[in-house]
Amino acid sequence: MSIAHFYHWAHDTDLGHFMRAVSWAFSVCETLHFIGLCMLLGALLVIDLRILGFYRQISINAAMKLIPLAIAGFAINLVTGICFFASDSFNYGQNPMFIFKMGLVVLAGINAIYHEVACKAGLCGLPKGVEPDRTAKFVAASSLVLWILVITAGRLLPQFGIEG
Amino acid sequence: MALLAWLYETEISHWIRESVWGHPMLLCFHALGMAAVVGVVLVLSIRVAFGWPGSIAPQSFSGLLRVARWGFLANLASGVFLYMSNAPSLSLNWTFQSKIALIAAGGISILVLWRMVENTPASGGPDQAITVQTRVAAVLTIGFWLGAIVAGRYIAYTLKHVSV
Repeated sequence: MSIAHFYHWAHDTDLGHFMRAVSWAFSVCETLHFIGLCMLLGALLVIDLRILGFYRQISINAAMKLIPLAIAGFAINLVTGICFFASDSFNYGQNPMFIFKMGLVVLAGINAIYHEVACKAGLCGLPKGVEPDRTAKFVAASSLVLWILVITAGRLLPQFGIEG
Repeated sequence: MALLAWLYETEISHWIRESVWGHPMLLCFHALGMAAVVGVVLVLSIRVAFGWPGSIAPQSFSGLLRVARWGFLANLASGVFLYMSNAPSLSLNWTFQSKIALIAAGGISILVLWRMVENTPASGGPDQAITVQTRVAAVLTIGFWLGAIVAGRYIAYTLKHVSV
């Protein structure tokens, strides 16, 4: 399947037809997309800033309990993002900022998986008063920078040819 | 209307409307500020209203509220410039008026909520000490800020151009 076939397929799905036919669908998805990004960034601000050494009155173990909120926010954004794409797959596919944003999301995803696999167990098991190592801090800083760039790229999509 | 017309005709308003990057960059700051303020407020309010995650004491959010304050300032400053660039149309738009009212209510609500949290004893089981009024304030805070996001997204769908 070529990329053009994929765009055609996404455009012609029931979801694509629904998004174009129902007047309120796009605006509802946009609203949910914004709420999802607030949930994601809110949770990550607590988790990543704590790993970086701020707000030491919160234990790292306690901060990590917010990971499900970040995942829920990401899930909302993934579902609504698929809805946006299906509504106008050709324009999204040809928008360089959309490609850039998706690249950033993939990098942020790899970063999150690395955090989960390589850092989480060590972070949760840290004795009281011991701060995370440099690798964990680098992963936390990367997470914040990547998601801030994702939000920025998302807001710049219309500038490169499409609403969203 | 004369004041709105003056705001619309200022040099900065012209620059925001006519430059390639003025409006999109302001939108980026507006979105990042919103994500920071609503994100942190959501995490604190969820913690207070629903007791999750129980391992984070609500009182330990004082440092994170500074992040929310910076987010709000970024949101406010970019919002003022965005408003100036389209003051007559926005001023008469009911979703914009609703958004401003909800932000004001959300601001008052988070101040009241934080005062209540500060007056809650942290020791001896903080959750038992959180009163019903405090939980109600947290739920209202969530409602006001999510309402502001909803209203903000619908401005673009309801805005009618008003000539000056």
